[in-house]
Amino acid sequence: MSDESVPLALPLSRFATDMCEATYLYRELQKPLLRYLVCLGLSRDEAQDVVQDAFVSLQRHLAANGSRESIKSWLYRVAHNQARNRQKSYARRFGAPLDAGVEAIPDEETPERKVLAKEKFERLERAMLTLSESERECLLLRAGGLRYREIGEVLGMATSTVGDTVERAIKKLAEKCNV
Amino acid sequence: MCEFSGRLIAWMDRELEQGEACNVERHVRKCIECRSCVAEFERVNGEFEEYCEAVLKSKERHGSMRWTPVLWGATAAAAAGLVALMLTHPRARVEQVPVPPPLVTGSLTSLAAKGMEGGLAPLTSHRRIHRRHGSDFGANSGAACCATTTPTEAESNPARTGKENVNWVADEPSVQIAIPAAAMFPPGAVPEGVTFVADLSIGPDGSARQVRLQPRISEFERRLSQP
Repeated sequence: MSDESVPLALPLSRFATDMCEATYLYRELQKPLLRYLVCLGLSRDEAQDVVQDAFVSLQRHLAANGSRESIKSWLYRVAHNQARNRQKSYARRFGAPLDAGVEAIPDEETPERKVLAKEKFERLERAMLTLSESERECLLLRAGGLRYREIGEVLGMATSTVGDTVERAIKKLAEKCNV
Repeated sequence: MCEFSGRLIAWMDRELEQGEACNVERHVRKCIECRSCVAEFERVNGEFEEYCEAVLKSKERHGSMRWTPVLWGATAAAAAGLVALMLTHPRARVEQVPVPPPLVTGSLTSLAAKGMEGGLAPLTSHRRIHRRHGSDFGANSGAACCATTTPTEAESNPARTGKENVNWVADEPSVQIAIPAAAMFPPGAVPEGVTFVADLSIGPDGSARQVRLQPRISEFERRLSQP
């Protein structure tokens, strides 16, 4: 009896562990992932679809006893690839790499502050358009809390290249935003 | 340009090894240029973070605003359609009159058999077929209209009477052809109690010459038909 209960108990405990891990990752990474995809150019609805698909893939990956190492970069890579595939498939919906129609109206208290914040936003948006695709992706992933190694895993770049790209992008932004 | 300026961002991101990070930290404390660079990079980082949040919020607002006019338009169109429907079909104001069920039903084959046995003359050149339409048929059995034909003595044998009655009305229809209400009128278009009589003139070759639809109130018609 004890021999039969062991193989039954192991998958159940593993399933529970996987569920806890997936739930924890969802709570931690859902919002940064959504923000990354939206800033990448997806609409809000499509970004949510991609996030959901990515977490379904994560669930299957864990259920299939996939590797637990670098699970964060694995999740970002799945979402990133899905977003890029969608952008290629539905090119008519994504004219510009970043959504050119976005007009952020900051929630400031006074009209003066609103105008200033809007100007800052527009200046930064113009500066973002001068960045290359890899520079923009590196910055967005870095803003999502990924380390250089993880960014390299997501984008398929060497860690040192990521460091150089991030530095170049920040310096470009600093230069453009000071004008 | 300071020699440490190329490692400042990696140091801020805690991507340097411990020994190298300590060296950069010691240098930044002493170097004013690097300190200002670090302050500038931190400001850019903060603005970039705000930018990402603003994009996310903007798209949230965009999504809801995109559907708002569509929803309002759909609601307005539905309300206008409802008002137009109520104006064109004021069902509530029509007095509901009970319509009697069809009196006699039969088939064309049984009529033909009867006609042959009774020695009826063949159909004359002007024959009236009454088509009745009642909304209650449509409501109850799905049948809305019936075409009836029963030739009277004068109609069936004009040679015997010497004249042809072209305005006869059948007392008892011997043939009914049921036609679904939806084939003639949209559902609910005809108020209950109102029937239609279709006068159909048939030529000698059997083709329809003229069709005339006349609305009638069934109760009134029944009273007229009674002796």
